[in-house]
Amino acid sequence: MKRRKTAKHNIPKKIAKTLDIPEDILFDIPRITMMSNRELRIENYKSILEYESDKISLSAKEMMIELHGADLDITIITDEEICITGYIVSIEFSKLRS
Amino acid sequence: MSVPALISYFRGYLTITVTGRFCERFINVCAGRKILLWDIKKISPYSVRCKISVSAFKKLASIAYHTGVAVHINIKHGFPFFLRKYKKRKIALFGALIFLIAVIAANQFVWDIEVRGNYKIPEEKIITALNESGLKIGMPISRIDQQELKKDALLKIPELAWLWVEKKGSKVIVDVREKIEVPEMFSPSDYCNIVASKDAIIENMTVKNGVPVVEKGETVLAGTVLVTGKIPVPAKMLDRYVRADAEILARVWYDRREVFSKISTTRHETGNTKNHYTLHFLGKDIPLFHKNKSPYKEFDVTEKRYTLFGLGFTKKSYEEITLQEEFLSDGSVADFGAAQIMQKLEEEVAPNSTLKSSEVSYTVLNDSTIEVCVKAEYLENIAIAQKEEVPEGLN
Repeated sequence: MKRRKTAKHNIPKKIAKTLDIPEDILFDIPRITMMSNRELRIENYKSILEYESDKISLSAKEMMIELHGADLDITIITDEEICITGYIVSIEFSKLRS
Repeated sequence: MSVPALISYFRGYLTITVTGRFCERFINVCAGRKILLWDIKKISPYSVRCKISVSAFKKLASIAYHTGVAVHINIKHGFPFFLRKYKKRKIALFGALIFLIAVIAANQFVWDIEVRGNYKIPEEKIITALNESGLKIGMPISRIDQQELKKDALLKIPELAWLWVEKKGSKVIVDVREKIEVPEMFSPSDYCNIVASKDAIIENMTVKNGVPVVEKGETVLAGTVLVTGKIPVPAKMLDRYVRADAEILARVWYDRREVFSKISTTRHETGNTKNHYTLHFLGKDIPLFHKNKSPYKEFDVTEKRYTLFGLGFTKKSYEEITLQEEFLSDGSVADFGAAQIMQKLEEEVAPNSTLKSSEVSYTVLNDSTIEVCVKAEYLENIAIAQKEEVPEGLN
């Protein structure tokens, strides 16, 4: 039963792979762009979970992204994209508890 | 300022502070409802400062209520707020309006006339001719008839080949082209004699047309006829008149004397400078904090002029200099003088002449002056054509 489910889930992924389509377009997988450690852009995020000047937690599809750093500002936020500037020290990914 | 920043400036935006325990929720809801927030900054554990456009701010009330935060406006940015501030100041607005009207009104009149392209004809002559034709400083720009002015001015100043009046804002630019003088033309059928241009001894004659009157080795005075265009035809008992043509090489002597000073003055800058500013308005000069007099005894002056809407502005920079006198030796002054005299002579002699010999001598007149004497011998073409009238009833 379990094997079947994973196989079923993998079909669109396989199609995307054979057709050479970027996965983040088909599925809402977050695309993260960084400019050195000063600017970070995340597309396809879901929401902000926590915002402090030294820590930002975001939720995305199936995962939680946690940024640590200093002077973290959100320069722009829309429903699809978020841009964070500041001194980023680390990025952590973890499975979202739901 | 970037383009988005400029747009938001014209639309107006606010800096707000969001205070509450659920600032993140507030931001999430705003993002979800497509309300744009930018430059979000955490300023304390329970408050966030961000920027928002004026139109989006009106939608915040219900979001703030539902997310349990308080929203305060800190700063209002942008043009709409600037305008609102000045709405109450009616007089200032009125002043700005008057200024605008004055600028527009001032642009409807001729403030300045500039003449371009003239070399020999003085600017004043062109401007007075145009004044008479109806182009005056202070007249409305719209009443300038370019075609009419062109016709009038070209008739008044025959030396001009072309003229055009160009309107450029409140300035009128008169572009002119001068006529090139037509050299005196001889037609091949004219009766012409060749005469001597200078006193000389004839060295060589090459006669192409006409009958030579003088011979080789003869001494001639300026104006003597050398070759005549009157050719006798014995068979018909009458004369034929032709255009004489000849090249006559002759030895010409020049004797030039000039007095030169032994004192040479050199100018040195002292480094002191002073600027004088003058305002020009409607043909009047208004000196600004000076009396139109040079502050120094010996000086160099440079002038720069700026004009705008008939309002002229001149900057005169005076540079103080000192004169240093120096005595030169007799020989060096003689050399210098001789070179100068020779230079003048070169311009005087006919082209393609050759210098045969020259002699320089000088006499000391007094302590500070020297008379330099140059004797030079040139071999030059002394032939010049002179037009003659064919006697009546002949030819």
